[in-house]
Amino acid sequence: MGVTEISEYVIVGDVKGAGEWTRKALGEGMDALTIVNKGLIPGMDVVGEKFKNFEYYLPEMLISARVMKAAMALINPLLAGLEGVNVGKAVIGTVQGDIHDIGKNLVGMMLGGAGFEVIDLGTDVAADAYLKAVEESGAQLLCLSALLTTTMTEMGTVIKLLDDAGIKQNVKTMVGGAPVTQRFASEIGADGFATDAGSAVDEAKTLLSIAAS
Amino acid sequence: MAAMSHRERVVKALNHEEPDRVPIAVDNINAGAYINLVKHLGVDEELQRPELNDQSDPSKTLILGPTLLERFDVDVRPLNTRPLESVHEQIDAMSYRDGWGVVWSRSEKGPYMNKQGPFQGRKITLADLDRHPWPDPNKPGRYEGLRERARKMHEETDYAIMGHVGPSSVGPCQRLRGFTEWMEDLALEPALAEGLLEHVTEVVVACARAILQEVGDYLDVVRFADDLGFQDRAYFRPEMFRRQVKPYLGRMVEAIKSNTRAKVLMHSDGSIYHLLPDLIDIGVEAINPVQTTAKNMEAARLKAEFGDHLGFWGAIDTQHTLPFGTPDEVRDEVRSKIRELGPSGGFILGSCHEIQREVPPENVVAMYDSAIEFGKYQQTAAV
Repeated sequence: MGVTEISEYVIVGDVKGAGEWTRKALGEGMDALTIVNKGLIPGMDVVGEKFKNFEYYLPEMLISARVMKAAMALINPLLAGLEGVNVGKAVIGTVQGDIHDIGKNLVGMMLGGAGFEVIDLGTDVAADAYLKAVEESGAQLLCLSALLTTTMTEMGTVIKLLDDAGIKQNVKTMVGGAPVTQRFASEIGADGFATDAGSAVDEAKTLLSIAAS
Repeated sequence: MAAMSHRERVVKALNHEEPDRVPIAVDNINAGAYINLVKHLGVDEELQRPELNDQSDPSKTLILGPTLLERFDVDVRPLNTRPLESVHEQIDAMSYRDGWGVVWSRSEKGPYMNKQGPFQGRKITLADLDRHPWPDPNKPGRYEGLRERARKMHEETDYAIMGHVGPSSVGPCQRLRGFTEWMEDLALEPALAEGLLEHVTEVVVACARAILQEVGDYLDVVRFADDLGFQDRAYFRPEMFRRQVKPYLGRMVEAIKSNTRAKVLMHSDGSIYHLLPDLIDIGVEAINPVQTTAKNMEAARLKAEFGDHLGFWGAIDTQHTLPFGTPDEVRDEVRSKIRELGPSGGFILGSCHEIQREVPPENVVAMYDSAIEFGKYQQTAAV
């Protein structure tokens, strides 16, 4: 079985086929991380390209993401047990007042696929919930998402809260979402910024000084 | 020569003839922006409106009051009915259930309402859809007084009457099933997506039919709404739209056309350029709000490629110019849109979304006043 076969399942959004393939591949001893790095993530990269090129629209993107999620559900238990795999903990969420989550979910999936333990707080999350989650988990990374110009200002509130609590220097903050720009990120004191799920992983690794794979 | 009535002006424009000036649409305006406008113009009587009593919802909109509608010489008046999406059962101070069974709740900080549908976030079957208590648009008393209201507007005013008949099929499907779930169904479980479309279409068509059987002969334009696009693309590939969604929207247009001679206006936000040939094909005669800053939706392009078949209702940029521009920039925007969309009629001017909270009152005034100033058609000389 070639690992690139799973990429095809991701690209066409075949959830059932991907599940069957993943079980078989793991059963035959294929390395879990290889499936993620050489199979799933390249598949999602192609999906991302097709979306950028207006070949894929929302239904196609969503079902590819479903395949990714289904395959990762089978793989995650194996990754957690591996030493050195866990590159860090990331708390992610959409800010208070905002319920958009597609981008955030993709970032979470990509970070998980890259070896992070992802703590997803969901959407419409109040600033103090982020503070609590970062403190309790010892996460090295906090990722905030917003899709509205009216809610993105919440990101500044969260970062200020971390600062007031004296823990801002212990966690790298990263922001993203359609209205978010590098300039806005710098203004609010975020450590990093990314325009899409793929770049988010690169940025996360850069922030935590993890070598790119 | 007698001055043209408001109604004649709009009807001519919708018939792709040049009236005396570009007609002006009746837009929704955010309550906060409206209060600023009223204070700016010193029209204090408009602050007494009952719609302004409850100011707890920052996203609340309304239309201008009678004094301002006259001040700006707005040509259209809406005929509203109580939509199925309105409060059916109040759950608590921040949330309610609507006629479809969708729960709407307000977040403490956000400007929009969250929705949770009865089929959302879980696995469902066609039998689940059959079992659902679908709303009955023909419930006795639902349209009490509507015909008389419409008759008065038609016979006692000279405004163009726009009847709202509600959403077509896509919006309710998304709210009932979940936005992402229904998109996934279209790709992965088409029978389920279409089962839901079928149930929903039966309801929206019955609703449109019932309203128009009451008032169809008093209306000049009928508006139905269904957002089909984002900033840079439609929700679906045109091929998927054509195969799986278009027939259901077609039934809505057909129901409207069989019950009125009024023109059919479809509202859809976003980049819907690639869907326009199909919308024309099912009988849509004008589109609103014409979000020209969305991809492929440039005014000149739309007019050149679709101006023979479609009227354009809206078009004044409300993503950048209206909220953040100067009054002079607003005037330039109005002038250029009139130049691009006005020739041969087919243009009814308005903002390309509701007039949002940040829009300064000077810009609202600039939009309406320059619409009059630049909107006159040359009757004898070439344009």
